[in-house]
Amino acid sequence: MDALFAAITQGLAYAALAIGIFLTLKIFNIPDITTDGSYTLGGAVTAVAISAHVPLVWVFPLAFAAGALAGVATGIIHTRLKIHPLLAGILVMIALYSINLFIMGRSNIPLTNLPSFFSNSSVMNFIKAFLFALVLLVLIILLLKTDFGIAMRATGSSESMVLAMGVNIEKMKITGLALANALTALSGSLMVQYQGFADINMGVGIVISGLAAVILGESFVRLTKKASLMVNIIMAVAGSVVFRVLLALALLAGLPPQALKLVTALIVLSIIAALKISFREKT
Amino acid sequence: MIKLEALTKIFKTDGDDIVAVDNINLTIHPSEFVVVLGTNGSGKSTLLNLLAGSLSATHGHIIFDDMDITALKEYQRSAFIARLFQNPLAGTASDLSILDNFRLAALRSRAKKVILGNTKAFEEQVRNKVALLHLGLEEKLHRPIGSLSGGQRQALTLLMATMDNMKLLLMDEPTSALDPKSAERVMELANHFIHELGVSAIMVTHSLREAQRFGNRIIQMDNGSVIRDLGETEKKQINLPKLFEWFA
Repeated sequence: MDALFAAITQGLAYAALAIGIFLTLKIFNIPDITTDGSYTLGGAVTAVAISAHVPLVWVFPLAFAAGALAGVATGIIHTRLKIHPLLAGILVMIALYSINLFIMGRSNIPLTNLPSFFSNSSVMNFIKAFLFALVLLVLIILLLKTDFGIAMRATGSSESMVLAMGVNIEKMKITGLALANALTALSGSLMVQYQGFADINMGVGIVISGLAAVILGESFVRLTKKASLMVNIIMAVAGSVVFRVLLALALLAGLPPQALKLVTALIVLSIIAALKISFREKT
Repeated sequence: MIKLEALTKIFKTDGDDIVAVDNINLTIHPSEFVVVLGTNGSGKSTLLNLLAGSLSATHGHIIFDDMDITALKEYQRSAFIARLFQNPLAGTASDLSILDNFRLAALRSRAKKVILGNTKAFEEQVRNKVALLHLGLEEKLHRPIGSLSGGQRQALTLLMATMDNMKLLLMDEPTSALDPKSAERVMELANHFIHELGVSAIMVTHSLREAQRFGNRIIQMDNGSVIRDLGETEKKQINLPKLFEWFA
């Protein structure tokens, strides 16, 4: 029971990551995998800041800003140098591995007996993670409904249209990637505070968590047949929680931890395949 | 007033360079509706893209009301140039609602700020505007624009152009992807707005019938140059058989 509760709390901590991936993949139509690097970056900045006794109120803004910078780097490489976003993301992700090591100074920073957003109470932790995800959801949904947000959404939908509507597409894409990676870094920051340490390898393969959340969310939307911007984002967050619960159940069922990433890949693959097949039947 | 001065576009290729627009000098006055005819590869669309800024000129200048806009980017020129594309899907954002599309169009010349601009008042304004089309779309403002037909979308794109100031309307074969009835509606609407708002317009078309019926100036392009340029009185006298002869 405790393991499931912890999985739900973690799923909520990964909500920011899921929203970030949703932004790039579904709003901007850009496959961005800077994620692995920016997630660890958020964690690294958090661990160093907390170790240096920076007040907790500054920790999230710092992680957010660091993630945004990573996104700006990917965005500039993609738009100004006309490099495919996947490659741009890989380059920044790889570079971030070294940068994260520079920031941390070693490969692991424990945060025992240091302040944290979370506490020892699993109920309180759940409530905190839930509220954090809720506030983020509300802010992002509001942002996407503003004039700026409309221009953001249009950028992923029709480039010819937004250019004719006076939108600087390059700037818009850079902003979008910055926001997405800033959110990813927030997840990194939350997880470091939740588990009480930062590790240089904490981000390896994390992009698949976000991807799984978004794809699971998409399948929920298909099932409920109530697609709207708001529903789609909320479902991505729900997908994040369900994905963590699925993994926890697999572990509880006796799955050896080394098989975790294999199972992760299989879960994502089976959902995508299921979506493809059900979609093919309709058309 | 729009002035093209020695406007030239050369496409570099591995083989010979292609001169798509060759040293064109042209002055377009306010309220002038210029129809551009020409065979495929005559440089019509390139000319339109040079004006819109989606292509940059190799030589020459584009002067807009005494301001040299040659160096301005496409999104910057959108502040005073509206476009109607050949592909009806290109002028609207499919995933967004009709209302969101109109909101963006209303901000064509302005910054898109972090404010909630889709107010009830704005929605009412769009509803009244869309009702002018008599397509019943005013009841579907929250539907994704991608759920509409090409003809409906092209008509909406045109209407969206009037949501903000423009000095020039560029139309690249706006009706070639539409059925005859939708094509007729879009052309009548375009004609109406051009006269009502007193803007300049340039339309590239392959339809000689449209070329004969609409506009008050007609230009024929060939090999990147303007080979015919008829003003209002001359254009009135032209008939379809004569236009056919231009391509003989």
